[in-house]
Amino acid sequence: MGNKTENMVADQPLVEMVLNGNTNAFKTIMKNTEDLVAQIVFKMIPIAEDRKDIAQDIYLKTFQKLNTFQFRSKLSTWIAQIAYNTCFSYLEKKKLIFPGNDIDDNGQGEHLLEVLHNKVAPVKNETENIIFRKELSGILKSEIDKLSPVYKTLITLYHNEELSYSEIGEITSLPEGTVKSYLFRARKTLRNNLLLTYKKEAL
Amino acid sequence: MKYLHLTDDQIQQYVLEKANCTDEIVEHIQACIYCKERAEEYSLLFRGIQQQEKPVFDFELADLVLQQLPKSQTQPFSEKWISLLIIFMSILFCCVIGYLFGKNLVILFGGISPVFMGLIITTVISIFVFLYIDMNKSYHAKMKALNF
Repeated sequence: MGNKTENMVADQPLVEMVLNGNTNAFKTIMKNTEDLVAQIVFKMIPIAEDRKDIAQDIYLKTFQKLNTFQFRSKLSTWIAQIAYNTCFSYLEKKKLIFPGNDIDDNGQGEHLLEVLHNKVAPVKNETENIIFRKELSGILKSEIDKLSPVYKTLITLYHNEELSYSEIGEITSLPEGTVKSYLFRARKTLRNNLLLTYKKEAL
Repeated sequence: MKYLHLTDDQIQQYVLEKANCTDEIVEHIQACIYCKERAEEYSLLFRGIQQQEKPVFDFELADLVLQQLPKSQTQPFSEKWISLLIIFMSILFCCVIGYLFGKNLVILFGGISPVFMGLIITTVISIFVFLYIDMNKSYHAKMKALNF
């Protein structure tokens, strides 16, 4: 909580400088938040060519609306909210919103560890181990990509950006309970899909 | 005694927020090999997610955006003076009309019944309101097209 207030205090001079016409201050804001915005854009926009326009659109909207920012949240959370809403509008426009039915309960009773152990067993030396880990990371990446944009974004915001449930709720305009529930379902789907992929690969 | 395994949600909660789990859940996981393995699977999964490479834009986003920002948010000095001059001229024009033709206007409108006068005023105000709304709408549409 203290950290949140500290960030909000640090945001204020930057915002005031931008509102007084200092575009370099806006560049600083962009640099501070670009990683978070990139995470959201990459997870929500499946078409790589469109990401450039959307990323620009997000910051142009941020600049245009900056005078309405009321310091009730961190500036990065507010910008992430703009990013999420912009991406969501894009998905709606392109009719790319998938229903939350990508929950795959197959493999419920299976053990991922067991399958992984079978795969790891033949790995003899360190080089092979590195290759295996890279392969695992690649498969995990492709499984994350298969999730719906909202699930992907929630997982990224929680596990990679280490945001709290309430911050994710602010960004996505979802109640905290819904964020938790979606995250549980997304992880379960991911685990089950990963298990299925490994089983298919093993065959 | 019926022996039930933990639910997926409980296992995830154990891995992520062990401190917030009930003693029952913690004890169960320590005792149950099946649930312990599932907890390990989730730990492995979460580590894998955290180790994923962060995406980076392959273009200089800040430069692209800064090029498109308006040069200055404040109104130019000359524009302010032009606006003030127009307002002043309008007031002056009304005063001159009133001074020169005031008596004639009183005679002209004095003979009209109050109901008819009300009708004229309402019509004029309505036309001005419609014109203002229309101008405002087209102004915002043009600004939007110019900006984004």
